[in-house]
Amino acid sequence: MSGMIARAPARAAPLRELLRRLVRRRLALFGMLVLAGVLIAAAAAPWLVPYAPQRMDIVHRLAPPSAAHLLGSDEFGRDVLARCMYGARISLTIGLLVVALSGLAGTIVGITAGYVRRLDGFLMRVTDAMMAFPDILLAIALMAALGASLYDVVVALGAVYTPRVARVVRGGTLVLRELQFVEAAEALGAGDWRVMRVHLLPNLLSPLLVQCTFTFAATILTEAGLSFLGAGVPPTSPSWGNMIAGGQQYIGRADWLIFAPGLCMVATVLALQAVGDGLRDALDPRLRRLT
Amino acid sequence: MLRRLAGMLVVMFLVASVVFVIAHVIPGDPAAVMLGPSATAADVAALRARLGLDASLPVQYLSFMRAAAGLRLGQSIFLDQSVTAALAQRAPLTLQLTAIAAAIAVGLGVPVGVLAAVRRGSLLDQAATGLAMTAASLPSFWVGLTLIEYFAVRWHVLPVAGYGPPGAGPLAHLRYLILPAIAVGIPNSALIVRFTRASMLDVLGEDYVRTARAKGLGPGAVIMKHAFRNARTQVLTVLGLTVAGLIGGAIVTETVFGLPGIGNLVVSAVLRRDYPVIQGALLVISGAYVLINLAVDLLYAALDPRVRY
Amino acid sequence: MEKLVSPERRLLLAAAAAAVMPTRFAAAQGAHAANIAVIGEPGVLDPMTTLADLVNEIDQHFFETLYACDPSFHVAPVLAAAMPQISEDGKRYTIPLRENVPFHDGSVMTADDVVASLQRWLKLSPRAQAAAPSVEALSAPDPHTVQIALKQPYSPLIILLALFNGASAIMPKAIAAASGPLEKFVGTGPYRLLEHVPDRYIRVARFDKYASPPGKPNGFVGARTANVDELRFIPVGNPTTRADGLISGEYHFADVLTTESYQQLAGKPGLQQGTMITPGWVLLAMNTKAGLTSDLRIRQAALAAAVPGDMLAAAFGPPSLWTATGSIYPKGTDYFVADTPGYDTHDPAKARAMLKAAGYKGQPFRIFTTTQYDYMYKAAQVAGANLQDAGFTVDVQVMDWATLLQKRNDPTSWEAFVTSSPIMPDPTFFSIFNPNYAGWWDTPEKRAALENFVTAPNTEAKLAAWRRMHELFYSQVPSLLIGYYKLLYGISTKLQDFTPAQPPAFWNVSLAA
Repeated sequence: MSGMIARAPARAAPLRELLRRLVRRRLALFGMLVLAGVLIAAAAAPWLVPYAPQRMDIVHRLAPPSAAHLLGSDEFGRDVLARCMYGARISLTIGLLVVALSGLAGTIVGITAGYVRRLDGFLMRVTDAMMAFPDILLAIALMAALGASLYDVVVALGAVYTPRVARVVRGGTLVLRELQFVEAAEALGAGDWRVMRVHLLPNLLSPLLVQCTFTFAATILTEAGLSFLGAGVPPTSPSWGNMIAGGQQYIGRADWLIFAPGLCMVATVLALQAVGDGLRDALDPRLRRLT
Repeated sequence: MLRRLAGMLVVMFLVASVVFVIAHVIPGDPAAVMLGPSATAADVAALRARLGLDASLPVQYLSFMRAAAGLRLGQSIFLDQSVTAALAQRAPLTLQLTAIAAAIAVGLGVPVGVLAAVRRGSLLDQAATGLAMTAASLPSFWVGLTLIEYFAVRWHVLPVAGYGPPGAGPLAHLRYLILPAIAVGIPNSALIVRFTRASMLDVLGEDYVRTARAKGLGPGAVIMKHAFRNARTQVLTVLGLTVAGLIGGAIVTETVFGLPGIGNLVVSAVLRRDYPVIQGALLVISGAYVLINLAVDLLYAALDPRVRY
Repeated sequence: MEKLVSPERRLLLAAAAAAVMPTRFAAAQGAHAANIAVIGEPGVLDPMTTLADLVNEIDQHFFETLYACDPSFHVAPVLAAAMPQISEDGKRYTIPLRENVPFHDGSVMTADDVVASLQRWLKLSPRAQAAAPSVEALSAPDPHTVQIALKQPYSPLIILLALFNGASAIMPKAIAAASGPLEKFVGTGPYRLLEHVPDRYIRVARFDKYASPPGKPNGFVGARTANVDELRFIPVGNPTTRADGLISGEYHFADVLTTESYQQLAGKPGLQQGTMITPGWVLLAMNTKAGLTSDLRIRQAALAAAVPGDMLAAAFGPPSLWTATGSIYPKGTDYFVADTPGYDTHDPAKARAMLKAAGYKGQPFRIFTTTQYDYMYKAAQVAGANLQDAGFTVDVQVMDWATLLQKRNDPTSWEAFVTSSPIMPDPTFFSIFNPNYAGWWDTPEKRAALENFVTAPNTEAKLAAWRRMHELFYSQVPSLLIGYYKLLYGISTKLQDFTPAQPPAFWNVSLAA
């Protein structure tokens, strides 16, 4: 982990330089292309498919993939392709909101623990306690407590992933605070708040970005697991996990019902991981040497 | 070392508090679930009183913490068992499942990782890296559903779900664990591949490995004797990290395969609002996780003399 | 180096061999055991304290009651020797007992055992709470006679004793009289409880000294014979898995299938699809106590807007698996009522006009439902769509079952929820007639009709009182009866002579090799 911020005193690489490095890596480029595809499909779904995701057509239920329904239709005759696209909206929305929530909360907790030593012990023990539960288990329990809306999922998964982000941010902060420029700022009388905001935070952005990408990927998988167990977003929403859960009983007759959303999910998570890997390599010279 | 243990106790105390809070903010009533949809509020209240669900929250918290400290986990509301008995009855299955899954993850992950590192940059390396990343993107429940459909329902090679019949030997039971273990093991092998590869690359770049090569040792000997031995502490670390993934995977997969293990127990306990079981299972699972990580740390120190606690 | 195969390796080979062995091997090991896949883990097996069908289904193999019902809800004796003698004033029941009926622990049933069991039942069974206030005393004038003295006549008493739900199971006095949770499960049934491993299985074995009631078997009455050595009730929560396991030969019986898993069995060799004799019904229960639906006109508008056929089709699939009928009892039973004014009107315009007349201003009509029961969820979706068509503002709230059961007790939080019930042998056993049940239907007219029914001196008076209750159900619209659905199961052709009674009983079935 410490390797990630070895070049910390320099400001984070400018965006264009970062992109250039990313594009040079084939896997990362592939990941970005897939993500762009998913994003476009999610955003432009109403214009790309002629069906609304909730439109039922009982006569043509469980129809195999054909020209009319490229990915077939489900048990209510709803178009699977349309539902996969709208499902991308739900998964991406949840992923982004969870990343934002856990990124923000995790940064605050991590930077405080790393810089304000008095609080470190307590904050890290709480983090350890939260991380002692497997993701999915903590999420199930929180969902049972919270309710079943999309925002409840975001809060539950945000709570699950905050400790992970906090860990990374604290690790980075611990290394940074020993460095000369931070000591110099302290010697010049900068307060805790200013040091954290001006000197630490910008240098933590790289590891944070990498961690967020992986959190995004993990969120999509955990959210699907929650939906599958019936503890996720309301079953009325065509999330990928709900589609797989709903298609489960038809798998013998209509395996596209679980393969289509499953492959969408795998592709998205794979792309996120590829981008995350690429980011890590591009931002971290030590790891770059190895690849 | 002592500080490490003290820290662990604090973590367990916090874990227990988190468990209590979560269990008590979950709405719903175990008495209502037991009585079913046709029961009236009066029936439910009568049963609640009989089950002793009426005490105030601070009282329940104190008695819970006291009991948890002594590992007295109480009586399940729904099952005709104590929580300890319920966990003990289901633990062997979950342990077996996790162990087999770990064996699959390590057995697949370590050789592939070592090979990829040794043949760095080759087509083999790229294929291994790509496959590992794909495996890490697979939801275990989805893999499980697919395995059931093909291996059990269509081809009749392995049983559909559940656990062996009463009185069957351990081998008969093993058949029921094969598909679930694959479903849990494959996604978790990915992390091991990647970590093994990275640590091997690290070590292969070190001077003593170069020296060994210069001495004229064959590549196999260099890898096994020098490089791998030093990379294994790293692998141990990642195994510690994977435990959480394995346990999490087991929880969902037990539900997919209807395996009567701890994961299944805790999911149904949440649905039935069987609070003592929810609390006990969460406590035991997270406790196991904390202990395993402690064990990994200790092993790590044993394997690498530079590390001290 | 003498050993070619090391012990470890041999173990591995054996594991590999076992792994590829066909699945049928497992079933062949216990040739005389029938594997019955049930919907889940029943938990505590006390037959008195729970109303759960799953517990009844299993318990009826080892516990018995004094009486039982045949498929048309007529009562016949089981542990009793005959129907009770009822005094002129309807306040004293004298029940003769069968002699030489052994319990599983070897002791022989006496009137003392019966009295102790009934006392435990009156105290603990939610079902018995309807009867308990009317009971004055229980006594055993001789070892083979039991007397029940009532404070006032209570006509459903005998049928209540025949109901295996919160059941008046007969057990030895020492066990029945003990306080605390039931620890020993000693009954008189054709099977005895062998082993209960939660979430794995419940094994019951043939009771060799079983003394059967006489008569031709008909539903739950008549002779009972345990032909199969052992029955194993295996909890399998997922209906698709129950059907899959039946197809692969692991189970002989798959209980409570969904439409989809039922259709999965069609045309599969060695299997049969089946439906239980008595159906169940689905209900949209409404809140008569507070808020929007406490206004009768709103409830009437909902009745006019509902399209039962659509809800049933969404919930249960092809029309062969359901019936849209508004009568609380199905055709062919004594309590069937053909006249159901307002049922299946399907008139959104009329509903709209009624809403307007009631001064409806778009307050949300909140429907609670859960996905844990697929049909409830689907029926609620369509109910919501129907009401929306008529101008209601609908809010379908999906939550898990446990949360639903709790939240429905708060009259300010909901307008309706979907629920279901098996057909009960006596109308008073339906919770919708209980004023404490969520929905809280408790008008003076209904109370009077119910009182007339319970105290009716003869069958004619009883039927007249029932018709009045049915009429009120449609004029006061406490809930919407959606219709009947068939309870589906799958069975291996090896398991023969099964009678599709609900809950399914496996005495009198036999298992071919």
